[in-house]
Amino acid sequence: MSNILTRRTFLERSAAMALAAASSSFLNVPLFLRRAFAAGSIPAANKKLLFIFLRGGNDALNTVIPWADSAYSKKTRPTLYLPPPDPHTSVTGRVPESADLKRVVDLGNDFAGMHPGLIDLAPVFNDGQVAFVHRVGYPKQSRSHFDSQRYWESGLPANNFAKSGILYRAITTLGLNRERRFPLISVQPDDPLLLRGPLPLTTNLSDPNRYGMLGVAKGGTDKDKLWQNISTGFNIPYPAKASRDLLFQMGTRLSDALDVLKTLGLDRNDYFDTDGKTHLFPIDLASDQKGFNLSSFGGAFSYFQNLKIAAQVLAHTDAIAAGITLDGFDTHGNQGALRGPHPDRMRWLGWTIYGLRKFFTEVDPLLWQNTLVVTLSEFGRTSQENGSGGTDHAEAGAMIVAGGKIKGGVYQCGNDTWTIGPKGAMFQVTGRYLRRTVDYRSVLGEIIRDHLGATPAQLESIIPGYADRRENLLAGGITLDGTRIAGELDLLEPV
Amino acid sequence: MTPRRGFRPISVARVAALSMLISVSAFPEDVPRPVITDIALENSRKIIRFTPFPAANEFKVLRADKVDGEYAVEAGGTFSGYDWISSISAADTLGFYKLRVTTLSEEALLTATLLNRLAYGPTPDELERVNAIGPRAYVEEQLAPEKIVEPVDVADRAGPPVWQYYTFTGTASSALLYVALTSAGEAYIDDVKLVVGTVAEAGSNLVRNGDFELALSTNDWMLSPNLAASRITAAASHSGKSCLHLVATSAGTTLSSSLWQTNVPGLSVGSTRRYTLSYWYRPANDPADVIVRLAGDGVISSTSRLVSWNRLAAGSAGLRELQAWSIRHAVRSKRQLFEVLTHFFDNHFTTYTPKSQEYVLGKAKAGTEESIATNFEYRELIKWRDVLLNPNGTFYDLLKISAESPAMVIYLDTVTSKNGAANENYARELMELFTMGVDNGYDQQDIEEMSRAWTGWQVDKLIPGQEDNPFARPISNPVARAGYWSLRFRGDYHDVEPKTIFPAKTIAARFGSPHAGKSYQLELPARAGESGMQDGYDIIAHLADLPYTQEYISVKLCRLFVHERFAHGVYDYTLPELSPEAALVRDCMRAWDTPAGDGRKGNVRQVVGVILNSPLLRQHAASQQKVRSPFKFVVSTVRALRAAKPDGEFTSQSGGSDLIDPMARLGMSLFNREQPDGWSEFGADWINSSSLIERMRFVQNRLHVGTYTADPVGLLELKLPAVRWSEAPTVVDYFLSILFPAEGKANLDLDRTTALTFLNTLDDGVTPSPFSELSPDSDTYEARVRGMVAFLMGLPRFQEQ
Repeated sequence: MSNILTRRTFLERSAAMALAAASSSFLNVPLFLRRAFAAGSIPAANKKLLFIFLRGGNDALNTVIPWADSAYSKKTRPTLYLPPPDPHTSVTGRVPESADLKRVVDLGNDFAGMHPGLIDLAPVFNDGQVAFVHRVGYPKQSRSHFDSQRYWESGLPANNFAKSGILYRAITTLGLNRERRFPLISVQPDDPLLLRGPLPLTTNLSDPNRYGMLGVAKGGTDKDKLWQNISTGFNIPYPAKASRDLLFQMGTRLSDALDVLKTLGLDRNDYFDTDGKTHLFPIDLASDQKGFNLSSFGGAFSYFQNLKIAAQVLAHTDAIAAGITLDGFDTHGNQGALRGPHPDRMRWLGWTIYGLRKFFTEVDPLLWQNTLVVTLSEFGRTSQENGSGGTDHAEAGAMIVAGGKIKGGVYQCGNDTWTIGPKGAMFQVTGRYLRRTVDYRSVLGEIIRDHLGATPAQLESIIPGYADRRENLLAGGITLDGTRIAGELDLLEPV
Repeated sequence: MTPRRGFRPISVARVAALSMLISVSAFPEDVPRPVITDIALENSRKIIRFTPFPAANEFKVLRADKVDGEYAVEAGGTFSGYDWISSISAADTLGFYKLRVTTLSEEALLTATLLNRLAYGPTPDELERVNAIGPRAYVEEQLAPEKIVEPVDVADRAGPPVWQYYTFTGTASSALLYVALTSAGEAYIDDVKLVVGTVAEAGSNLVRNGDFELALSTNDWMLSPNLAASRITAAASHSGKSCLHLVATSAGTTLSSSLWQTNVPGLSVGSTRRYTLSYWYRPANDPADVIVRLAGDGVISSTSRLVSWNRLAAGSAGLRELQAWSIRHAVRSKRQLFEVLTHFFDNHFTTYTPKSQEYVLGKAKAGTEESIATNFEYRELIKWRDVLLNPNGTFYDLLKISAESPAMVIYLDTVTSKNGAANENYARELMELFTMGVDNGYDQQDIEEMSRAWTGWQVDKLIPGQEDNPFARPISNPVARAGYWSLRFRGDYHDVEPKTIFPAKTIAARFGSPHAGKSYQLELPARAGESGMQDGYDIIAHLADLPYTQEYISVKLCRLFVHERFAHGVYDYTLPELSPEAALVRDCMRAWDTPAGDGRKGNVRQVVGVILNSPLLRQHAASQQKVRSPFKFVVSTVRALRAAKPDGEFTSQSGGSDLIDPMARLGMSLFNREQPDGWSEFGADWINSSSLIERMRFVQNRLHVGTYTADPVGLLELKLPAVRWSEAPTVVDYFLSILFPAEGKANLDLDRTTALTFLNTLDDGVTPSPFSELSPDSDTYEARVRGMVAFLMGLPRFQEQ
């Protein structure tokens, strides 16, 4: 990223420039400032966001692999190491037509590759619709699952008492919850903090087949009566108690969900790849043409079931954002290079991104243009493999952002900023961890502004300190310990 | 609104002197007083609208002609929720109005809070008992569980299985009687009786050879092939010389899979006439439950076996048996606080059975992995329970059991940790989750240093008789040979170098005297061989009573019993004015530090006693401020309708296993929490639109007509005189009183109105159908009452505790 200094210079003068720029030609104004001025006018009505939380801490170094770094080796990763692409016939910005899937798959920047399990997303990457963002973290990174997940989801690092998620605040600040039956969808057993806040805006659809009363009379003849009475009960005033607003209003959300779900056909699964046979969502043995169930590490079917419902609801309702979870990334032991829990999940993720594009495009070609798929994970894992064939909690990780309007490519994992060798990027923090160069809030901030249409002022209230240049979130800069932080990455196509 | 002359609403309704006194003593000032929001005239009726008030039992509207005049109760009006409507045309009455509120008594409120927090929800009988003895006496009783005699079916160390008595009253859906087992297995059954009327064993027995004193013959019982091995036996009997030993190769239901008797005489099939079935059941070696029923569903009864203590102790039980055992204790135990604390600490020191199974996979005999993993959990539980039954039990005792548990050594990867390649997982969670609390007095360097100390803690199958000896030899062929999976210490895996944990760290100033500023550096010397294990014991002894640990554990207990808004790592105990929350945590820490009994710090019972006797627990700040977790919710649902009948049976039953799947659907499968932070005590983590609907479905499933796990009509018949059974208001009021004991009548007024409409309409919810005209013996009456109860249990308030 060679324009970092330029950006800083501009930002330092931004206050003075803002007035001038607003009335002048945008020709010489950097993109991020142009965006800032234009923001607020973007219609968010049809925007869609799907968050996939990779819970447990994804091993970023075996996801987006710096194969050109000599520190990524058989020595540092005895069982996890994957050999570099061979021969290395890198085509700039592209995954090669036929890649050796026992090796790192080249990503076309002479430095990085992706885990071969991700190969299914190659066509999407080659269309410039997948961005791999490496070295994402936040200041004073926590290596606790629970704290770090909380920080990622709340968008408030080091705040252990945050009660609202960053996406929740985005939706409410922008008023996108108004007159929407499903502002936020969670398809997993519980609602993650990412989507939660004081108002119950989230509808949980972990099992839509069970959305209804049973009744107690023979044949359930009284189930409508029961529901009418219970929903009456949800509207009775009450003395304030800690959980009552949540409990009562969740009932209203339930009423809405019951009305809409009847019409959606969520039990459908006739969505296929171009061969007309391979299901996009392998949710059971019959639809598992990809053979994901062959692994003994579990979870593929329920994950894809949740993914399918999230995709269906995003595609067919007014929902803006959905959150699902892929578990099993806490690979302290027997993580596996080509076989094992981590490579399995890479395969699922590769197919997820391919399948979602296919699915959304078939519903409506414009839909994929308006959709972003974002993966989150609480931290990366130790650069050095541990004695158990696994990796322990570390710091910076990697995000995958995919969508019709993304500027695809590899970010923060290239020759320009990544120092190599045993004292290089991989061991830059206390000789153990990969150091962050991107703050996750910059990635999410850019999405909230440029995808959802927040104004800079709104963004500042969603992510406090976003425009404060000491935070390095907008334009980047040098931190106290000398690290160069990238700021926003310009991931999205210009408005 | 614009005030007219001489007619001005008093927007803040001051309560009258008497009730104000009650309010001040019972409730903190931070509960807003009810406010008159509107005075209007509609259809010539004066309407006064006001805001709710917690635990309001009764509202009164008072009126005066002058603002400082004499206020008198307005008699001529009625309340509907938070509206008062004058009953006479009031167009020209001007005046000043006040609202008076009378609340539940402080004792009644505390009783309800206690039954929700230190117990798994109130039962009708416990509400009556605790209201009679008073909440203080109840707390004292529950703090000494070893003095409470348990019913035999939850005694931890029941001897051989005992005979259990079952009865059921219903109508004759057929004259064909079936006895079947619910799974392959065995059971003993004796003295099967069916009599006319609702009193068990009163009158002549309609069943032939129901006492199994005679050989089976085609005149009485017939056997299906899957029961062919069943025999009359003299090896056991409830009465007489013999009983029937049922042995089934598969589960049974009807003619081809049961023991049956045709043409039971004297039954009036299809009428509303009631019959009462009774029998005795005893679990056998490979226990299965028994169903005894008439074809159809007029009379149906099934057992809930004791199982499983024998199988659990022997290590042969599967996970569902342990889940059922835990749930059954929560439902039935008289030592409710003991059960709540057992679950709390098991959840605090959480482990994950699939990880144990994975660890022994290939090392143990194929097919035994689950029972081994289950046994790890059971062994922890039994040891924790012993500590909690001991008046001198301490947090250190509990922590040590967890640290030594094979389940924990496997779960947090100590088994994969070796000298030179230490795994940090256990050291991190030990401080973050089990003792000090996150960001509370330790850092990454301490984690790394401490992780070296745990190297060498392993799990292996040890030779029989050596299960408590961590230095014993492991057996060479664990798949084939007998032994005991247990903690083993390997000196050759241990990092023998000295370690310094918490170097130069001192207790934070905010803890004040006597802790602040004291060093808590921990030095572990170089230790080789077996002595290396001492590192771990030094660590837990050091961590167990650190002020950080005292604070974090006290905070978690306060969240369990009082409300969610307690935090660790933030209170400054040196301030002159502490919030009630900080003050309570400080009081807990003082109790922790004050040696009592045998003089050891961290006496669990005394810390819990501080919380249960705290002023905060008596207040609205605690009452109904928490959401029931799935475990609490399903058990509370059972207990809410569970009253003892004279014959020893209950009006709502659970053997435990029937609640496993409903809990799992609500997101909670005991001993199966993957993340080490345990199940959440925060309500928001449990409430979403799909869990809410699952809760309603669970209630409706239990109350469905034709299922006999819950019998609200039986409860009514037990608690109300027969002349009241057809009075809709009496019936509704009874259920409101047992389901929402922490809420005053006035706050339930609109729910009550809805419930009355429910009782008085057909299934369309509209067409009038007076409840008073239904026969209490009729199916319609049954369905109406069950539906009304399902409605009340589907309300948001029933999700609270």
